[in-house]
Amino acid sequence: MPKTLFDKVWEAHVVEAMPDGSYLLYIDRHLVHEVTSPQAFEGLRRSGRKLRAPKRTLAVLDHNIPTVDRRNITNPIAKKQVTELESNVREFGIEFYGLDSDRQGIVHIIGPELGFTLPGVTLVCGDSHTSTHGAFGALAFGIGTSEVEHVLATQCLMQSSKPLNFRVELQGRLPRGVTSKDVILRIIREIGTAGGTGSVFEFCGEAIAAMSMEERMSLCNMSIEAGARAGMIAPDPTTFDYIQAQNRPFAPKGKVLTEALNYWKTLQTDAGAHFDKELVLNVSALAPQVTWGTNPAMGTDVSGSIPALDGYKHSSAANVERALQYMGLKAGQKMTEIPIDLVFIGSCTNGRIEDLRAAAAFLQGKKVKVQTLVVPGSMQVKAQAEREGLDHVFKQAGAKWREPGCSMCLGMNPDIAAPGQHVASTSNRNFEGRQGKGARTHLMSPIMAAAAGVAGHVVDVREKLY
Amino acid sequence: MESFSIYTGRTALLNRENVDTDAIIPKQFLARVQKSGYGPFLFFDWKNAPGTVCEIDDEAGDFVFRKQVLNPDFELNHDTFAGATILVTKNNFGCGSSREHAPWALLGAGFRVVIAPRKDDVPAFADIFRNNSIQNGLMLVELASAEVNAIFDRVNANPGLEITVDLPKQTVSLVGGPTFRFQINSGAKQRLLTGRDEIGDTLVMAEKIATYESKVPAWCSL
Ligand code: SF4
Repeated sequence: MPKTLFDKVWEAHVVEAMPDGSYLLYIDRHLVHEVTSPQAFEGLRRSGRKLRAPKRTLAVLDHNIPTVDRRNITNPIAKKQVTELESNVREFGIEFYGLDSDRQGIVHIIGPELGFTLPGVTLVCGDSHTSTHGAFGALAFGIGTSEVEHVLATQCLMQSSKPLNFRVELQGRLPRGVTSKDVILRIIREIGTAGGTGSVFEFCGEAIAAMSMEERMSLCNMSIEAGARAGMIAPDPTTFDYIQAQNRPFAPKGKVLTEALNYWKTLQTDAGAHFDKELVLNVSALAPQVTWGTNPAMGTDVSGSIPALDGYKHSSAANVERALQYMGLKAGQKMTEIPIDLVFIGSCTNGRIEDLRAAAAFLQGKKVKVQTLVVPGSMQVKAQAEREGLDHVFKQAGAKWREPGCSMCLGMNPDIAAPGQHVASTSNRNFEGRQGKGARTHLMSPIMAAAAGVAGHVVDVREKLY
Repeated sequence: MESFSIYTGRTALLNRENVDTDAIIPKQFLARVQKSGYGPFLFFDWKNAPGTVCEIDDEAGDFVFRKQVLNPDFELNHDTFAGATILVTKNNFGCGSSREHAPWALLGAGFRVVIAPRKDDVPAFADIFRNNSIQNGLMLVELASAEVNAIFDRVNANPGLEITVDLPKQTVSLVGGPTFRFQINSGAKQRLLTGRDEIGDTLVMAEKIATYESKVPAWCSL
């Protein structure tokens, strides 16, 4: 029977199909951060359990770390959470990327950088944006803290059912000024924040083939915002080149790499394989996307307007009204009239080197009108950007160049927007309160965020490119 | 974890779609390292009005309310829903972040059941939230939209109405009728009924896991 990419990776990891219809799945790779792990380690301690395969787990600090004076965590509770991870990794013998490490960064940025993320593996993390790693053809998904404990103790997870196959074909080539961030925002806008629930996306088509790994990661990262369990892309020469680049200590090498490549090349969906759901989108005329509401599906073309209350297909007029009230916006308002008070460029969605290059290229020789925070996703991204002089470009444009971390993606550290502020943000969630109580998040691509910072309002970056 | 079988409780209505886990329990409380104590912070930004002061007490090493001003516009603050332990809401509940603090907060605030509707072929609950809820014995019931609408109508007409959820029979019954049947995956049902330690169950299969591990190819080993 012909199989999808997801079928292949799933089947290769079933340890046991249980009589009640559940599956015991083997987990090859596990990433841990400070926020969703303390209760799991505490559970292990209480039950006297050990790690089954400590080498399959990496831990990192990212969410709570200040981006200015990174060692100085003034919130005593956050500080305790950080020290707790530091002592847990010592106690349980886990490889750790703390504040002293030149490989520290946001969990979904460092996994691929380290060569820890590979095609055909199962990879989990107590974090919904684990879907990012699917860009390599891994089956990667977010789990809760009880499941983190389960993986630590058993290197397996019990899955009560196998997700559905959902094919997303992207035809055509992206126009100038339009990025994979716009593609994923457009997809979510199309199918809604629950459109992918219970499914694993496979992204394919001409537009995918043309994308870099960075672009693919931004795309897969937000699969969860459409509700999908995971998002996957079949590995190809772009993937293999990324894995074979310098400085990926966990990536296979030599003879083992040859074996791996032979296997990875089989990780393609077979002709005639069955998909439960399908979406085809031609991206050749896609406009930059910007959100106007309080979930990632509440967005539209930058050249468009906020819909009428009953013109949004994924929720009732009452919910749209509540969202607009929170956002301080009105139905029918033009997107380019939305004022911007703050710009955030960073996060596991768009905190990679290509994102910073794109934003810097736009900002070269310009000045931002509003406070602009540029936060590299990892120490490696920061070092690379500084080698290329991007930090100077940002600083000359009036933006702030910060230390790596989750920063303003979610206000668990000092980077918080004030109530009522409109934020042009390259992150992934525009939920109420996410960037600070009362903060109004507008999701967009790095180049769109940079352009909004220069203009002081939402602008169509295509009109600013020449 | 706590098991779940047959449960009767008062109902509260939350007429909102796509309720995300950031709304269920905001980010600042995720810095806590405990598994319990999240109940008071459930729906924090919706529940509390300006003037509320909730801050970290250095001595307690935890968040404490110095002053709490309830938002009169938030549904769950209404008297009619006081003491409710069954939450009836709209589709795509629990979307967004993977934080298990969401079911911890719901359970901590006394909720044992959440009922929400499918929308066309889209499940009522987000995947990770559903898994996290099962892990903690929080019962999630998915019904058809018309059925959930019927519950909204009945509860609106009879504030404080009690509902019985019978997991073995897979039914939801309103006092004075009607009764709706719901579907649940058999693995999840067994886990909820027994409340057993899932990690313990997996550890019993250690030999099978070891056999699997012996076949993991070199490139995938660490
Ligand atoms: S950058 Fe944002 S979404 Fe990504 S891991 Fe950090 S907090 Fe989560």
